[in-house]
Order: sequence, then structure tokens, then C-alpha cells
Amino acid sequence: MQKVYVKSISVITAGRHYDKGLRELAGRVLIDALEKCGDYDLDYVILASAFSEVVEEQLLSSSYVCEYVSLEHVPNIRIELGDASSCAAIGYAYQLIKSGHANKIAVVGVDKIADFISVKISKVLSHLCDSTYESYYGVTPAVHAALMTKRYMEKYGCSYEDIAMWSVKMHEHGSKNPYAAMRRKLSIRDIMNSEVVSDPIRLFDTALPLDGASCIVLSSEPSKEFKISIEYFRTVSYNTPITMREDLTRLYTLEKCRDVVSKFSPTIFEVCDKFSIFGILSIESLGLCEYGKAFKLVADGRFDPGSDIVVNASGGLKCLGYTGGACGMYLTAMLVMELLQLEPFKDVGDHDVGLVCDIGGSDRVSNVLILRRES
Amino acid sequence: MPDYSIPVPRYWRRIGEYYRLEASRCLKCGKVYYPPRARCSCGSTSLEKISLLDGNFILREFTVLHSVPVDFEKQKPIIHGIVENVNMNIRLITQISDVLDISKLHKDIPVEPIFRVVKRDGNIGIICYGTKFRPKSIEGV
Amino acid sequence: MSFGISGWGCYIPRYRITTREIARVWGDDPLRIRDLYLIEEKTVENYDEDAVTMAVEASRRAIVRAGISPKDIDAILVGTESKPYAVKPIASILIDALGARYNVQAVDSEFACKAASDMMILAYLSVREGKYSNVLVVATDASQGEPGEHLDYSASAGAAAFIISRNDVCAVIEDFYSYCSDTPDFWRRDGCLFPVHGEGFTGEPAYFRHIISAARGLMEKMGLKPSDFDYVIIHQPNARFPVRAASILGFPIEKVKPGLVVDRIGNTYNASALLGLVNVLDIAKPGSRILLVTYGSGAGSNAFSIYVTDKIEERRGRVETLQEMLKMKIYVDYSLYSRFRKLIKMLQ
Repeated sequence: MQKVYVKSISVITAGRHYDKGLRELAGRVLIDALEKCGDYDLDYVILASAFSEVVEEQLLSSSYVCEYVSLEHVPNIRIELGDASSCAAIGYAYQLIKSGHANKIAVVGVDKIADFISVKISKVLSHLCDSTYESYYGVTPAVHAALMTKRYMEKYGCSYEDIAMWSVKMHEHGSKNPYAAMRRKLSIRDIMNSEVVSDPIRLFDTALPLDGASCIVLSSEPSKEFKISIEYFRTVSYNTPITMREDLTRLYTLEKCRDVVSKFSPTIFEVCDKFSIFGILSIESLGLCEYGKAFKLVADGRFDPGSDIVVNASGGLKCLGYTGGACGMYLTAMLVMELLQLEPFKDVGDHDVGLVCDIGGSDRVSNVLILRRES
Repeated sequence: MPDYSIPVPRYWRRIGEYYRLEASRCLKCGKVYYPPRARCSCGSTSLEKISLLDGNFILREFTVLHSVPVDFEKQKPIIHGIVENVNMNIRLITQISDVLDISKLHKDIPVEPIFRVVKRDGNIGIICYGTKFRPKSIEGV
Repeated sequence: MSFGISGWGCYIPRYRITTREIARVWGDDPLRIRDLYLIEEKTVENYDEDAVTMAVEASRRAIVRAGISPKDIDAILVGTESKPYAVKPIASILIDALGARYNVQAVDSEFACKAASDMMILAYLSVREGKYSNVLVVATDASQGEPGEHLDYSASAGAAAFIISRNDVCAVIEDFYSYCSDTPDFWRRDGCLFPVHGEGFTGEPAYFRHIISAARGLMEKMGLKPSDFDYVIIHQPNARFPVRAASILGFPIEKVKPGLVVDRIGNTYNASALLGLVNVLDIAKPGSRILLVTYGSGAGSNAFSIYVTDKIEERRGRVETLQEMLKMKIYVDYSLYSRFRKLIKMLQ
């Protein structure tokens, strides 16, 4: 059994990178991360991507990315788990290194969704829902999120503005984050004036689908500059349709990770807020507070940088952008920087254990990683 | 031949589910599944096909989708709802059609299944049909 | 042994547009329009409806009314002139939509508005012959007229379905009489969006000649007079034509009214007279005799004598009546009408 360390990270700010294809985006962050490592010796390249086939009609995408950076003989594989591809890929790499099957693996999260017009993006995102029984009729992830939001509002007697305050808070943090795609502060009125996506959810309250790429190199040897290890990985699934769930106001997958939180006591978190309701429910389902309380605590600054528990100091996916299969990679990279208190996270406080989780679809699968900063 | 976008077999093999709301029912414990399954969570692999069309349906939850996917562009907004067949204790996500004044739609009203066009594949491809729902009565909608 | 209708069902969309609204858009005098056609409003199919969807809804209701299983149907015969596919029948979609057996005969037919009634004749003959026990006959149309022209005021959407059977017959088909000729009063060339017609020519030489000939032919053949009938139901492209035809045949207006539904539905083409029949079957007492005369441009007419049995009472109440469906209405304006009926040209 080997330890698994983060050797280096690299992030491209998400955006509409019309001039870069999948391999250019992935190649950029891969080269950047490997240059920081000092060498290109790798046992594996693992590509996390949800939409490669649809966007670029490319299979074996990991192989073409390796070709692009002249890693001609490096074994590679592409992992797809919807918008939970990245943490799943990190988990896969973690297990390979931990078990001694590999020593150094570059995990790259990449997706290019902004090539499409908006109605086509909605169609492609609907692949995250049940394509035969839901997307066939025009259901998209926003529909699921809207149904969950409505149920939450009714159960806890809060308004949509209460839920949307999550985005206001995220933009407060994100406005200080140069890695964020969305850096403008938002008011609740800005949100309420934006168009309706699926009622009650408004456009400025959703994480915008953008192109993005991020790379994390994992190794059995730590970096010379810092020592951050991946201490634990768990993946939990709930392979049922939302119509067969008793309660739309709980994330069953993250509830099953409460013991991870108790055991490792992370104090800084990066959670998947592709819609505000997922951010709120992540906090509640992980047990950081009671159900029905998170929206107010977040709005009141309970989890702001500097607190004893910090959530989404990066601005979350709301500000980083929704990059499909790359989402978790961004959150993990941000968490690494937060643990090291690197710019722009100098004021998050001193935390040595952090947790990052990403969610695939509407609570169909979640991956949880515990990162520890060692001295 | 021009590329019509919906491959026919993919639609055709689901006709039972789309046209007649065919679900699976476990012959051992009676649990009903929609979407259908090959194996029940009780462990049995003996499931029969049943139609959910009979029975009383209630609208449990709904949302109005404005950011519709490209193949529904001309049909927006689309109302998606969770309806429950109270006799068979099963829920499904479905489109709610025949509603012009959405402000008057509310939860817990009785709804009925209807056979409707889901989408038309351009001018040369197939017409996809399926089951949607509408309020049983038009009081207010 | 008697053969005829053992179940009936219908379907009309919930949306309506008034002829007044259409006149507003196209600069016609709404009162003159109403006077011309005596149509107040007509049905408008939703964007997601077509001749197929309505056929399914009407058929499902006919099957429930007849008290049979879809697996008891031996043939599905559809009459329509607004097929969504030029080649691919509505009847085949009905097989799977209804859950019928695959060992069935299924076919669509065209003779303008008359085809469904032709299918009714063939269904009756096949059931009488003995090869089939239950035949589903469906009349369905979601036809269109050129915007702003006569037909735009009347062409509407609706479907009627009948189970023709040898068992539990509640309305016996006593006899029928056909009268057809090559009379081009109304036609649509292949590939054309809308039909065209001969205006005045659609009257005497077409509609009236064939309807009167068929009706008189039937009555003469059966040795019956108008007084032997309780109801007369005639193809209704508007309300004036059938009222005049009935008068020519010697029927008083009271016998016409129950079968006249065009004023609030519009012209549902194949379902036109047949929705009138549905309306009458919803109320007719056992022992009533109905004269049903359909008409299809091109041209031809089928006249039927239908006798209501006491089995009809137990069929009521199983599904909605046409009148109940008529009450469920939501008005649309011409802009939504154009959108729902896909009158606005799209790229694809």
C-alpha cells in the first residue's frame, strides 16, 4: 500500500474556448501540470470527460490527447460518469497508486460544451437524465433540480429567493477568484430579473455550461513544495429514478458519506453546486447542519472563508463554470490551493483536512475525496 | 439517403413503453417499476409486463421548462410533471399538455394519460409518439 | 343474427377558435361568415395532436364502450384524408397503441370525407360473412384549409371510432346504399398543402346530387319513408348544406338537429357525419331508426339505415359523451391557431 500525493495541479479558466478543441484544452493543462512536476514520466493518463463523443465525435479521446503531447507510449483511459467523471477518475487513479499498480498518474478533466448553440446544449445535457424515458420527452437536469427546489421550498417554507442566495454568496467568493469564469458580484435582484430556465430556477442561478480543463498529477511521491495527500475515496450510487425516491429533499448518496465526515473531520469543503439546490443539499446531506437549515446558514455567512467550516471558498461551480465531466477536477484543484492557502485563498483559514465531492446526474452517484495537508 | 437523426430501431423497441406505458411488475413481491427492469430489488428475475394506463392519476409536482432541448424548440414552454398512478403505487415523469394558462395549474389535481406526438424528426424522419398527461377537467386551465 | 355497432367513441381537441376571430384576421365580415356557414367555432388540434393521436383516443373509448378487449379486434380500418405520413398507415400505429393482436388486418383508405363510412360497409360485410367478429372502424382528420379562404373557417380536427360486431350489437346496420361518380368538386394534388374546390360546383352537382341519390336509393330499396326514421344525419361541411338536403328529402328539422354538430366543432371531414352519429347514439332510445348519409368529394355518398336496440342503454356512461367533450373548451386566437396547426413555415 502506497500513499497517494498530489504532485501538481493546473487549471484553465473555463470559458468559450472556440479556438481550442478537446485535445488542445486537455493538452494545455496536461503540459502545464507535468512541467510543474519536472518530468513527463507517467504510468497512466486518465481522462475524465462526459461529452467527448457528442461534441467532437471522438472515441479513444484519452489516446488522442496523449498523442497531442507526445506521450506516445503512456497507457491511458477515459472515464465517464456524467458530471461526476472527474472525482471518479481521481478515485480510480488513487486506487491504482495506493495498490502499487502505478506510481504516477495524470488525471485530466476536460469537456467542450460551449461549441453548441444553447438549445443544443440543453439537448446534450439531457443525456444526463434517462434518455429513453425522460429526455425522450424533453426532460433536462434543470427539470429535476426545479422539482427538487420546489419540494424543498414547500417543505421548509422558504422562498425561491432564499435558495438563490446561494448564488449571491458564491459570487461574493468567486469575485475574488481569478480562476473563476464568472467574477461579477450578483444581487438577488439580478437573479430574479434573469430568464426562467425551469420554474422557479432562473438563469443567473445556474452554473453556466462552459468549456474547461483541469489536471491533477497524483504520485506516490509528494511534490517538493508541498505535501497534500489523498487520504480517502468513496463512491456511492443510488441507481433509481427520481420518481422512485421517497424524498426529493435529500441527497441519498452523500448521506451515506456522513461517516467519512465524522471519521476524517474535514473543515474545508468544495461541493458540487451545479444548481443551488445541490449545493444546499450537499451541506445538509453530509451532515454539516440539519436539513432545512443550510440555505439560511450560507446566506448568513456561516461557511464563509475564515469560519471553522468553510464551503466553496472558490465560488463553486456557479463561478468556476459548469464544465461537464471536468467539474470535480476544478473543485479538487481549488481545494488543494485552499489547503495550501495559496492566492486567492489566503484568508480561508488554516485547514489541514478537506473534502471534495461531485455529483453525477440528480443524486445518481457521488464521489467523495478526503485531502490532507501534511507538514 | 439523407441523415434523419432518430435511428428507427431505438424508437421502435420502446413502443410498448411509449404508447401503452408498459411497466414491469415483479411476480414474486408485486413491486411495479417504470422504467421497466429485468430484475426486482427483491431478487426475483420473473417480472411481467403491465400497462399503467388504467388507474387514477394525480399530479404530484410540476415545473415549466423554458430552456428546452433543440428538438422541442417550437414547443416551449414544456410542463414536466411527476404523476402518480394511485392504484398501482407508481410515479412517472411526464409532459403535461393541453394547458394554456399555466398560472391556473396546481398540484394534486386528477390527470389522464393521452396519446400525443412527442417530436417530429424534421421533414423526412419519423414522427415519435408517446404518452403525456393532461388535467382531467379544464376548470381554470 | 344482427350485425352492426357494438361500441362507439369519439375525440375532439380541447382548443377552439371562433369564426369571428378568423374573420377578424382576414378582413371578412364575421356576421356574413356566420350566416354563410352557421358555424360559431371549430376545434383546433394542439401542436402535439394529429390524425393519429385522435384516432387512438377515439378508438380507446370505443373499445371501452363495447366492453371488449383490444385483443378481440380482427381488423382495423381507417378512413382519413390528413395522414401525417403519405406512406405509413394510421392503422398500423393503432395496433400497438391499442394493444391489439398482430394477427389483424390493418389498412388506411381515402375517399375524401367518405372513406371511413366505406370502411364501415366493408366491416359490416366481413362481420356478416363470418370471417371477422369485431372490426374497429376509425374516422379521423386534422385537415387544413388555405388560410383566409372558405375552408379556413370550417376545416377542423376530430375523430370517431366504431366497433362493428356480431355480438352485443346496440345499433344494427340494416342496409346501405352507395352512389358515386367522377365529380371533381374538391381535390388536393399530391404534395399540395391545401385542397381547392369548385365553390358553387360543390353544391348541386356534387354534394346534393350524391347525397340525395344515395338517401333516396336506400329508402326506395328498403321501402321506407322519412317518417320511418327518427333521426337523419348528413355529412356537414357547414350547417346549411345538411339542413337543406334533409329538407329536400322531406325530413323535418327536429330530426336533423340532434345529428348536427358542425356549428361548434367545424368540419372534421371523415368524422363529420360520424360525430353526428356519435351524438345521436349518446341519446337515442331503443327502437329508434337513424338515416346516416355520408359524403366524400370526388364524389360519392353512402347511406345507411341504422336501428337502435335495447343493448344501447347499458353502453351509456362508460366513456365521455360528445357533449361532455364539447364543454371542455379553451379558446385560442389566430396566432396560436397558426402555431398549433403548423401554418408557419419552418426551416426543418
